[in-house]
Amino acid sequence: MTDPASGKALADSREPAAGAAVVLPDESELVRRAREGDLSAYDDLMRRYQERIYATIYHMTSNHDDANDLAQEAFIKAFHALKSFKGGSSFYTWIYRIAVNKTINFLKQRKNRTHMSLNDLDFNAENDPDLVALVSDKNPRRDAGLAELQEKLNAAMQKLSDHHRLVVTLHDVQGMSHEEIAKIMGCNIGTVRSRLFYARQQLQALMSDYLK
Amino acid sequence: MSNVPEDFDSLKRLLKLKRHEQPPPGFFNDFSGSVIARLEAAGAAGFSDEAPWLRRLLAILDTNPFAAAGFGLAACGLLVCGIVFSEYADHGSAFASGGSVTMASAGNGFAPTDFSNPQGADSETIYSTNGLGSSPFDGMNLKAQTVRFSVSQ
Repeated sequence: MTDPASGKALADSREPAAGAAVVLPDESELVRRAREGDLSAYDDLMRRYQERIYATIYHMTSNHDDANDLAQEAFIKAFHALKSFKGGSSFYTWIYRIAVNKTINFLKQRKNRTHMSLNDLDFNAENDPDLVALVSDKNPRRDAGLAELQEKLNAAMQKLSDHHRLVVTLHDVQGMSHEEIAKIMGCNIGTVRSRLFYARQQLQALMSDYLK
Repeated sequence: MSNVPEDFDSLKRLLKLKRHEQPPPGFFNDFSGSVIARLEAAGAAGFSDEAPWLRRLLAILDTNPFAAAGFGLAACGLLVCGIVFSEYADHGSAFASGGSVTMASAGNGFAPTDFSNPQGADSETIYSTNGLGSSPFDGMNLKAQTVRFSVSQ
């Protein structure tokens, strides 16, 4: 399995048997079959990207139910749009673009109705040395537990504009490169860099009580 | 831009917290199954067979912002053209009929009739026939009659 939030590794959520060599079907072959209506091929494609797509939408909305609905709708929309997918970009970039556009449209409509429904932290969070250092600092203003820190961080993220939050999510949380983000957002790399810098500045100011 | 990247080190460490936010256990086991079920339900409802062109159009508009912008511009252009054309058409017919609306249908034996309103009474519309060409009713020797519709206020 992979880390679903960061989606760092290629995600096929079906665990192979120990020691078995797994040969993943070629993506373009899966796309071709899915385009012809083969739902099992599309199921394979979804399993590769569902965790990363879900995580991106979740970090944008800070709401599990919204993320679930939007991720499902993005995959449904992508299936219907497969005929228009010419292969100019990777399927991964293409599906991401659909999910991101859908999420931003949703956020525009939601605007003044922010309701956080946060996922639980996994048990690894308590053992993460960086996070342990953050919460165990002697400063009395930094005596928050991880759960409180999570809530404050999400509240601060929600104060960013949609595009700034997206850049921080894709780069600092999911570890994507500037180039990948530029392709997904349909802008140039300079714009990605400047948005990232501005978003970090804002977050730093909003979270100053919890940072060294 | 990011001249001092180390400035954000603490923030980056804090953002790692987001990677530990997890959906409920087993969530992803059912996720793709739910999507497939919805796709099958939509297929069973016949949407995919009934309007493939519409689906394709919507898909293109969804995935290509330039196409969506072009489509929006074209729709606005058509609307503006329609408004301008209807204005022009109204003016044209007003000039032609001198304020009354004229319908032509009858045949060769009838002279064009002036249906302007001689009494200047209530607002009214007069429909008439005149000889603009042959019609299937020519042989029936129909005579044109003035019909007045008055709207009292």
